[in-house]
Amino acid sequence: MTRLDDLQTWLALEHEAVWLYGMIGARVDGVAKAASTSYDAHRLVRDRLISMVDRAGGEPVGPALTYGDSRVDSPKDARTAASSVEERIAAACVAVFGAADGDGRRFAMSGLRRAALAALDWGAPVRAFPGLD
Amino acid sequence: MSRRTLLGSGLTVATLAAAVVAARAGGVLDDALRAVGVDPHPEPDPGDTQSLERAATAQAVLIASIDAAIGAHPGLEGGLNPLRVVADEQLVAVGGSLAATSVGPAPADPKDAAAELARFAFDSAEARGDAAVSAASPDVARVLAAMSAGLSQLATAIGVIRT
Repeated sequence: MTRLDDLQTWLALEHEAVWLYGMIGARVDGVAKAASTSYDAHRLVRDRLISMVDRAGGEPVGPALTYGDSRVDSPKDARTAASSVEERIAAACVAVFGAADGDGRRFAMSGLRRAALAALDWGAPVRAFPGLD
Repeated sequence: MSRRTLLGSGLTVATLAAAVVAARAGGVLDDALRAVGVDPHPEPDPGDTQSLERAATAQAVLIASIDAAIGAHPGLEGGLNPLRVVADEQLVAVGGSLAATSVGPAPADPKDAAAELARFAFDSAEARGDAAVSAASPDVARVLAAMSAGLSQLATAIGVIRT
């Protein structure tokens, strides 16, 4: 994996998160407000990653047409799906640490911390090494 | 085990961090690195070793403080015990131990005791994050970054314990 591959992996997950929180916000009343907050946060990171990939000379990956067909109808479904995508984002952020420079690592650290806390908010357990274990 | 395998395995990376710290103390660093599948050359960066040692020391203080809080306020035990398990996993991974650690008494009010723990975990998360950004070894950077995120989770979880 090169630095660019690591960023693209993270970017692909941010596209998924934006899609997921948009869907949760539209379909699950009980957690719509939390989903809206997460949606805004992930859009910002997604846009930042697109420009980072662009500047690194890559072609930023786009969103997939769909992300699986499992239905997210209840707050419980929403928590499961949201904590899953946040934990996968945490793992992508840890991977970025390998080849990144200081600025890249600082950005990955803020993304990792945000993902770990969001995972907790959406019901994931506390982990010793989020993104690593 | 190849280096690629090592990089792919979080638990192995964490074990590596413990091995680096423990082996430095015992003067058998090269053997320890060979045991976890890493070519022992070049030597680990002294700054990285120091970062892992600092992580181990702070982690021992956090756990000793959790124990002091539980001892003084049994009502905190149910909330703190599962978090102590996670904190201990972090301690072991960076090669730390509680042996030489002592802390002062917990604050008299359980709310203050919990707030003090949360603040310490928060500060540790910041310190591990800074060390992760400046680490020389990618493996050490990953371990410290993930540990920092875990300490952020711990600080948040301690902050919402009902006292």
